[in-house]
Amino acid sequence: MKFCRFFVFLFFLASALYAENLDSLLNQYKSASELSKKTKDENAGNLIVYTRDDLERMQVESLQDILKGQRFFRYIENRLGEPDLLNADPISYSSKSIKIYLNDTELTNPIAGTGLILFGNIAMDFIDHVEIYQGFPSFEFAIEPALIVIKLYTKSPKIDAGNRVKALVGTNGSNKENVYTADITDTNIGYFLYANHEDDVRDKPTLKDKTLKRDTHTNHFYASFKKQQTKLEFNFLRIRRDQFLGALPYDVPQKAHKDQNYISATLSTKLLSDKSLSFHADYLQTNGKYRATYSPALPAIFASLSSYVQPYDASALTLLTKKEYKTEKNTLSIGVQFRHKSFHFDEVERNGIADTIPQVYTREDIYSLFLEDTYTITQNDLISFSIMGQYYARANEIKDESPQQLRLSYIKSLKNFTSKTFINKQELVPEPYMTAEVHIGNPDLDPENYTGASQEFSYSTNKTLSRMTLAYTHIDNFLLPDATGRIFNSDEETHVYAASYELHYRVTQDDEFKFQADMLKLQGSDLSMDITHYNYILRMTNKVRKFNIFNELIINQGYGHNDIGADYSLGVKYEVTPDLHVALKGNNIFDTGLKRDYIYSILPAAKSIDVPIVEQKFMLSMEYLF
Amino acid sequence: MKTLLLLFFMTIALLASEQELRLESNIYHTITKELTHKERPKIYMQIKIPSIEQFPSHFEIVTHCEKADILLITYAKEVNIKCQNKIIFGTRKKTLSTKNTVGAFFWQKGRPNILFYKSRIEKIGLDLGKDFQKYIDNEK
Repeated sequence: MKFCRFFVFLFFLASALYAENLDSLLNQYKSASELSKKTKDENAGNLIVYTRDDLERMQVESLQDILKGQRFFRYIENRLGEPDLLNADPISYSSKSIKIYLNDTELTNPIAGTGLILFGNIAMDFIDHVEIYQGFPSFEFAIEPALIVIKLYTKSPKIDAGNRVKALVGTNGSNKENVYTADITDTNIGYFLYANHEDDVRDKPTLKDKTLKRDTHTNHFYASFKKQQTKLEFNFLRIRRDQFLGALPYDVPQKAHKDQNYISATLSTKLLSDKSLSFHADYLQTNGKYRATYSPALPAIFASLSSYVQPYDASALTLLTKKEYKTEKNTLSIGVQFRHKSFHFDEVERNGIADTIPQVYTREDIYSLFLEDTYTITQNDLISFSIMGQYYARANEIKDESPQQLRLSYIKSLKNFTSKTFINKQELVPEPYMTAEVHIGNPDLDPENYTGASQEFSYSTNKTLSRMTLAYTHIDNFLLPDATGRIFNSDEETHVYAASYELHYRVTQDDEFKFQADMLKLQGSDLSMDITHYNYILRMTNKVRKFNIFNELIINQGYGHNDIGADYSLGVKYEVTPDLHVALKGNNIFDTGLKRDYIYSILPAAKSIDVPIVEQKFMLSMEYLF
Repeated sequence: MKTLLLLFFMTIALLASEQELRLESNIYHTITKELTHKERPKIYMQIKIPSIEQFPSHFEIVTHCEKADILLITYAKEVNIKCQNKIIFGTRKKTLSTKNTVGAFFWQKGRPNILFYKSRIEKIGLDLGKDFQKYIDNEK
């Protein structure tokens, strides 16, 4: 321990010695104050961090800009134009196990099991930094187990005190306007208020004399108020999204769109003098209506359908409390979590006539108790064990579930070398859209069983960081649709293999190069084909005087039936003054990015259309701080 | 040789926070030293400033403003009349609304800022070094 203190002393001494003048001190202070350094948890999973500096230099406008260049997966949309990273058309929704958080609040749709469907392409102007945890992240994050956790952290009242306005115009008339204001009042209440309006207007291919639309119109408001350890947050989102090919793979709709609203409130606080007891409560309500018209009407075999309307509404109340007990070498966390979900999506209207077939169940209570113990074996060895017991109560309308989650992690570190090992066994309960829906749903579904291990090695020097990640997961009871679209548990084993290598080279403080290559293979007898996809990423961020320059090439191979996609993006940001920035950015500049085959008709033979997932888009933006 | 990277996994947030507080304390020291021309100035804090509380070695902290070389204020409210002749420096931008506050160190617009008002510095006859000139501005 003495050596630890000596090292820490040297660390601070070096900082102090370097801090020779005020400019230098301020730069170091700004860097040391980055919020990501306070929130990230290396022990919680295979972690990818996008700091505030990264987001600014990459000119990240939406979450899509980050998700399209991820390890093992990439940004994909389903046939409704909704973000769905694990989608395999024409399955309705596949990303239930990717959880997305805004600070400590899960942004979820209680029907789909994830908020990615609503927030997967959210504008990022109010976000300070992003953490992505892959490979069964810590149970402390999620009341429902996850394969991937995306944590978005908002800007802070202290650091972002002041006001900012931003305007963006882009291809096809796309535009975005937002404003935020933040400060700390004389009564020591920190507040952050943000409002955004966005019209994402995309290319409109024509198919069978009909125009396919994927436009999205968004209004978003977020507010947070914080005093000492207590924080209150409000989040309101309204989206009108054109639904591209529509929900039914029988013909091209004349028109299809969905209006959706989401509103949530969160209260969180830390209690006791050592802040070891935390409490979190949030309530959300979401509703929407899907509308599609077909002209001419679908054939008689599909009930001569000419219009289809399906409203939904859902709510969730989440309560969490956690207590930490710390000793010199041990940290024990015990948490109790409760979530009540209610949902209705059975009031369908076909050809203007109500056609309600009651859904199988309408509410679900989830009780979770978790225990996580982290033990420091030596200064170089850290081991952590987590167990979570859960109970899903469905008011006797369908069978209850009692899944168990286990997780073991071991971290070894040497001077320049770090090894992270994670072993897990998890059971993922099917979401309501898979069980309660009367057409494709199946109330007899069992939880999916995941058993996996991942190993990460990293080696760092002053200027470089190399990282290799290997992972394997065995899945029993994998959830798949049969030929009619009805979901079933596969009797066959499913295997997932993943490997990645990345190299970061920081040439100077302002010039960084990144290379990443990764592959993921999904193999199973019940899958119509084995899926193996590869991603390659080259990224450079540079600064030349007042210009920040961003270059990125993403190559994707093996997604669906398509060939290689090469998405090259370039951004240049000019700092007119410290308070006025002008930026020009092009996404998928050569329009050679990955395309996706979407099925628009399955009978008499499957027919599909190829469209780019991330379209060619040019944007000019200006932001002003005051 | 034992290595300590693991320490950073365990205490990364703590270290980051300590580093931040130490640097903030150093910045206050650099500023107060320049304003008072004293290596270890006597400071009075209107409310506790965590960075100075945790890393106080460069300061002599006093609890009565009359005994201080410089006052560090956080809220723009009236300073004790007995101390209005002291050098007053703010920890938030709003403190500059108090007319005898010479400058402030604060976060704004995503970055740390230092601002001195020229007229207020001149009024009490302070002469700041060349490192500080870029932080001096005219009062608007």
